[in-house]
Parts: sequence; C-alpha cells; structure tokens
Amino acid sequence: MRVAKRFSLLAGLFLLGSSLVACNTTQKPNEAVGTTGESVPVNVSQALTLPLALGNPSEVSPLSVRGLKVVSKVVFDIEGRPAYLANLVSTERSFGKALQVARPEDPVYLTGLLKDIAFYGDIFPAEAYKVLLDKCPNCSLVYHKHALFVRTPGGKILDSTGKEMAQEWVEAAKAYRVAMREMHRKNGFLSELEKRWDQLIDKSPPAPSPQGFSPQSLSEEPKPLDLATEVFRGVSPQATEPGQCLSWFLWWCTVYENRGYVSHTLSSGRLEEDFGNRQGTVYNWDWSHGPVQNYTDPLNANFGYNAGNTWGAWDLVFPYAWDKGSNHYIGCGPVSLLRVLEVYRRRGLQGIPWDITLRLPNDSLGYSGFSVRVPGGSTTDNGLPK
Amino acid sequence: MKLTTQNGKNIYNAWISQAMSGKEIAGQGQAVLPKDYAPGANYWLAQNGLPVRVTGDYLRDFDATALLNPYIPITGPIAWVSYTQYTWRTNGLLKDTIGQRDLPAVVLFDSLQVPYGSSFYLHYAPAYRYRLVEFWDWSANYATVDNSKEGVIPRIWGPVEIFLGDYYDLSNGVWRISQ
Repeated sequence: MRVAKRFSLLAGLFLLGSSLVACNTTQKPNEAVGTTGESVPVNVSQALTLPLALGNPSEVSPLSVRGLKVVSKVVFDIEGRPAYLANLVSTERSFGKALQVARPEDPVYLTGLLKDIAFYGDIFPAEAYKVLLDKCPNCSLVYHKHALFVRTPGGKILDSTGKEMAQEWVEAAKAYRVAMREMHRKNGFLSELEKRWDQLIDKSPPAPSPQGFSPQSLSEEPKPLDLATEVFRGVSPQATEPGQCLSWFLWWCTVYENRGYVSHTLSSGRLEEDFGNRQGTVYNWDWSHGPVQNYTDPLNANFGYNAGNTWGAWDLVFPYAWDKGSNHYIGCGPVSLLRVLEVYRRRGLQGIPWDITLRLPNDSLGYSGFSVRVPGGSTTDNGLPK
Repeated sequence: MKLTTQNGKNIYNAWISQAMSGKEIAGQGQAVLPKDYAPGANYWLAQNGLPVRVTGDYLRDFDATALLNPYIPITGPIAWVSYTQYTWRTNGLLKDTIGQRDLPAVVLFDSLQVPYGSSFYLHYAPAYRYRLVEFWDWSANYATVDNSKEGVIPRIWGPVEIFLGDYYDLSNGVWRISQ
C-alpha cells in the first residue's frame, strides 16, 4: 500500500519543531536539534559484522579467516550525521576495491556508528552500493527508511535512479527523525540503548591506533579490521578446541546467530503455493463471473468490474471497489493473509478445507445468508486456484 | 460490500479489507493499520468458518493521521522494555514459523519506494527467510523480502534482508496463522 505525503498537514509539526529550535538559542546554525549521539569506536562497529557474516565464533578459527578483513565505508543518516558503517568481508584492503570485486548479490552489512542508532541496519546487495557510487564516486552514502541514497558534494540527495529528492521531503524527513529522537530520549529509551552499546564496547579490545574515529576523516574509509590478527589476535591457529572462545571481541562469544528458510521453493525461489502480491483486480476468478448484486448465483454471473457494477462476492481476490476507475486495490494486508492461507490450503494444513465456502456479507459487515463455494481442485493457466 | 453511493455510483469495499479496517489512502491504495491486522483477519476467518487464527506482534502502531502523513507516525515514545519484548516475540515467531514449521510468516515493513521518491509504502508480505542475532536482553531480527522471490512490490536496489527493529520507523511486525 502506498501512503502519499501531505505537507499541508505538517504545519503542526513544523510549528512544534521551529519552536524547539527557537528555544535553543545556543545552538549552532547547522546543527540539528538533539544531535548529540556519541560515536561508537569504528572497530566495534566493524566487529558487529562478524555474527552476520561468519555466524558463531566456535565455527570459525584464525586459520579459516586468514587474509579476510572487514572493510567499511561511513554511511550518513538523512540529517547528515555519520550514523552507520557499510561493511564487506573481503580479502581486499579497501571498501571501494572490495565492492568492485564483489558479486552483485554479495551482502553488505550496515552497523551502527552512533549510540542513538540501532546496532544494525538493513542488509543490501553489493549491487545497490555499486549503482550509487558508480554514478557519483565523490558522493557520500545516506541510509534512510530502508533505502540508500547519496549526498552530492553540493548537498543534494539523490536516489538510486539518480533522481534528486525534493528539498521539502528531505527537511520533513529530518524533522521527523529529530522529533522521534527527542521522544525516545525523554522516556529513557536512548539511555538504555546506550548502556547496551557500552557493554559491547567494554567487551571489545581498544581500537588499535591510529584507528580512532575522527570527524575530520569522515569522507575516508576507516582502517580495515583484519580478522586473523585483530579479531583472533595472539591466538594460535591450532587453538580450535570446541566451545573455546577465541575472539578478542568477547561479546561475540555470547551472541547467538541463527537463520532459517522455508523449503520446497521453486527454482524461482518462490513457494509453489504462493500466488504472489496480487492486490489489483485484474484476475478473472471463475466464480466471480458476476458483477451484479445478486447473491443467489454468484458463480454463474457475468464477469466485469466497472464502477457501479461490482459486488461483494469478489471478496476473495476480486475485492474491489472504491470509485477510482480501474485502479482497484484490496491492499497488501489482506493479500498477505490470503497468500499464507492459500499455502496452508494447498498443503492440507491446519484443517483448512480444500473447497472453501465463503460467506457473502451484507452491507453492514454481517453474513448475508448466501455463500459461494470456491473449489480448490482446479487451477488457472497461471497456476492460481479457480 | 457496498459502503455508500457517491455521484450516482455505488462504492464498494472488499469484505476482507473492510473487516481489517482497510482504508483507501489518497487514491493510492489500501492501508491496514498494524493494530487492525490480527483482529480484522480473525473476524473474517471466523465469519467464513475457517479454523485458523492470526497471531503476531508489531513494534508500534501508526495513527490515522500517519497514514496521510508519513512524517508523524508518532503515537507515543517506545519504552526499552516494550522494544526488547517485541524483539524476543518476533524472534520466536520467525524461528517457529519459518524455521520449525517450514511455513511463511507475514512481515510488515516501511518500504520507501525509490522509484516513486515522494511516496511511502507500508508493506505486508509473506517472508520465507529470516536471520537473527541474540544479544543479552534483545535480539536483532531480519526478514528476507527479495522482490524476485517473495513477490513484493517492485523495488530497485532495495535491501534484501530487512532489519525489523528500527525504532525510528516504528513500522515493523510479524504475523502468522495457526490453529
């Protein structure tokens, strides 16, 4: 589903935001309200890549990671703070080189670099970074709301397609984050989070000089973290006893990494039973051949979905009908439920009948007294249930 | 079901969308609030005599204005305790549903759509894969929402694995159906 921006409704927040700014008379002109996040040592942020990239430390030895490094690049938040590191595990010595030799689908891990930021951000494929940095090698990376952008030396924010984001969008996004952070700070959320960062830092080795993070070197790539010598520093390659924690980042020894997946997917990677994200009303389900408001024989009525010509029997997939021309949506929420329900039905799970009998509603959200049987036996050419 | 008549045309909404309080937003689609997902789905399932129910958890809700205005989805600050509880519950839901039962779980995330730039999408989609890291008193959870595999709406160069614990978004959740 999509949510459109409505700037006219933002007036209230902007008034609030500007009053906050006005009260803070000692504030530097280019510093956002509440921008006080303390930096995390670079080597600790880099080491957060280890559980994601390598799993549990007992499965790794100094020998098995010899030559590998965590190479990183600073990623800014929409406010312009150095908030994340983008990390690759590679034999190369710099993030730029590692990105060049990485396969498009290789994971790049985002880890937090400020104590008011979560330990982690999304995992993007290497291609996502390549696309951005190839277009603008001198730009800095920006991560906001599950998407990557670049900031040009001139201060413009560009998305992956090279399109410039509107200034009003950027300002609103900044104002939103500042307001959100103030709320998190007031109720103590951020101080609790900071304690977790401090625990992590306490159980990490000190950053080897000259690795210390300095704001002056933001545009540069931080020094790589060498796994064999800095994560397993001083440990003999023979020390591989089960359960022995070899990492100098002691917290890694108590962190549990786990992953899993649904099996029996098609070669496309999709589950056979999953009909996909079909929110629109462009599918012809045979039982819905009947856009007249007549509950007595919905299965045999004629197909059609013009405005004023729709009805409630389409509820399973042909749901629609706000008065919006052909742009009809059931919404991703209901569709996500129906997709999972369909997987269950076709696998015969949890007592879901093969032939589902849908009750037809009346206009007050109740049962109309009429039902329609949706047989599960046959499928359309597209593999959808009829 | 017919909701009303406008300009001589009948206005309908799907029963399932109506049951989940799905609202048409700015002519761009249907939005279901996280708080309405499980109750609405369960009403519809019960009305149709289907023997499963939806359970799940979400980090924080949006209010109605948030659906019109993505910049103020703040219905209140989140406490550390509710945050950590959320991470453990979603951790359990992902492990049990995808890992143990070998079935997809529905995840919610705020998918800023790069091609559209100015639009924001909340998206619910079945996820087939998860990854989690358990720290001392909270866990970092990821769900995979690969466009080519799970069939979510088009994303160009978006993340493959979505971090479900971003307390700036407050738009993360996991649901599943079971008996």
